[in-house]
Amino acid sequence: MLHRDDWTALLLTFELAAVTTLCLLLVGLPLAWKLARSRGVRKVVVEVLVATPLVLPPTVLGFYLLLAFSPLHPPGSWLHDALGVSLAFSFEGLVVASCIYSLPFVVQPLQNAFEQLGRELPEAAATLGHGPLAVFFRMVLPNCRAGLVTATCLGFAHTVGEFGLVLMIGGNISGETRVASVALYDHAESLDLSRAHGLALTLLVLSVAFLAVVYGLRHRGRRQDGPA
Amino acid sequence: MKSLLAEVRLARPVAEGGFALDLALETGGHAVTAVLGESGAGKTTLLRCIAGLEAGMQGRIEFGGQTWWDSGAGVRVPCHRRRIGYVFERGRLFPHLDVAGNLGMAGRGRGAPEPAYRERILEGLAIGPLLRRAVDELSAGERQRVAIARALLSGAELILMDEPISALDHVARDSVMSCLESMRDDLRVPVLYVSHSVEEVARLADCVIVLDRGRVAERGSAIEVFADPGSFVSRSDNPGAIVECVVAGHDEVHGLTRLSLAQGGGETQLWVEKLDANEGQRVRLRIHARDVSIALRKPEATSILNVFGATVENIRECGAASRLVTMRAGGQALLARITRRSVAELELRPGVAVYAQVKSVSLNLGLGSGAED
Repeated sequence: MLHRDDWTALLLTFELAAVTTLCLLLVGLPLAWKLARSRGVRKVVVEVLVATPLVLPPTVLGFYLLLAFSPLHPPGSWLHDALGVSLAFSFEGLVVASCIYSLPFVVQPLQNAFEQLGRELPEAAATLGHGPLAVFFRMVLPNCRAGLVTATCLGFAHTVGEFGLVLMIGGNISGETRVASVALYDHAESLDLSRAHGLALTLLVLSVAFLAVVYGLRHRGRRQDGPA
Repeated sequence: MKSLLAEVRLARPVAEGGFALDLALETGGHAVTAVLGESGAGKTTLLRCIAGLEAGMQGRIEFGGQTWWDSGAGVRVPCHRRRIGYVFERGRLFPHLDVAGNLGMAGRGRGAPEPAYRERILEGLAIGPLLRRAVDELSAGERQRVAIARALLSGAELILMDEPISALDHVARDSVMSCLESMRDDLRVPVLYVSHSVEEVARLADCVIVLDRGRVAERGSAIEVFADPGSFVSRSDNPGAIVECVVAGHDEVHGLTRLSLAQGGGETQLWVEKLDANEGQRVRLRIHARDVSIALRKPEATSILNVFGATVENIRECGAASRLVTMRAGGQALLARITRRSVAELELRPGVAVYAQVKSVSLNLGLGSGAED
């Protein structure tokens, strides 16, 4: 049903989303934990920076990232000279850009969950002899499952839905940077409506199925947490 | 038993509540040291400092010769390395685990407790039937029992209890208290018990420290502090001395137990409802001042069983119309609350020999026997 190139685009999209979500969790968990436990001006500054992609047009972010990735001047030239890597128009570049773009969607639900958990339970765990890492993994994360699920799903879904940013810094290289949303745009532009329909419908069905699973998971999580 | 040495100084500006804590205390080798005081006296802050949960103050805390905190030298052992167990006012059980899981978390931090010890604790706090229950299905009293067990099973060398039963209703409070009393001999570690309740402290403490606005106002053994008519505990609604007795015999026919009040032998004895205790066992009683009356001659043909000779030691004001009279009987102090008018009519003054009549006693079973080791 789907054209081979569209399958490639879809797989690339999910690969990008999966890698991005993984990176975001690695960065977002400690960042959200730190934000949830700090106060003052520094916290506000970091919160503003994290939230900026929410309000910024993706093309603006893409424009600045394109400049930054350019191997002709710093910082892109440093990376190019040191590692021989160029981020512009590459999959790695898309991952870096997606991470920045989707950061608030991961950090904010986690931060909310951590703030709601409060200090009392982590303190209690510390008095039982659990160090900070043990407290985090044995006590904090299991009690913030709902926030973790939300953060993971939002990060993933938001990356799948990216368009303007990818177009700005990734271009449209098949198998490398052409993700599903860009491919769909191409088909519509070239009036190849049957392929556009195929891709659009696939994305629609997958999105609804994805949400169904997420809501199902959250519902079950709530039931396990007790009669609310 | 290891002892705790704490010197804590803290001054919070008026803008943040204007609170000052400035105290030094040592627990000696006592099993249960109670920290008593009104709310706002700094009791919880003190416990949190000892646990390493409070930042931004000055002082020094040593436990068993190990420095946990010395703000001058920049030493600060983090909370999880201090080998403490903390019982919070509201349990703080982990909601994602059942009761067994919560107790398991205690064993994972510093190593699992000995199975025999674990059994004793679970039995003492009646937790066996709760093990598979979810935390939010527990009653408030059950939660606190689990919280206490969790702290005791965590391999702690010092147990800090912060108003562990204050948030409970009357019935639950009594049941948790009875568990704590019955378990005192199984506690191998010193306990610092924070409370604003004189009754709780009377039942549990070997040693009492009274905090008043961030300072130590009184300290001493529970018996001394409760016998002092000028102390914080005697200013409470219901003052009363703590008396230590030895079981001298039973009257099976009438269902009574005879206790010897005298330290080092002697005549003074006290009848109480039959105790499940062996002859020679030490028990601890609280005799409320309002349950004690005074007569100059030995009353005859009275329904009151407990009448014994005593000597007046001092007389203090206690409200407009009452006086608190301290007497000594069999070497132990006894408080009586009588009217000013009676004091005048009986011409009571220090040194006068009188008869004390005790209407009823509150028993604290299981206390005393493990207090001295």
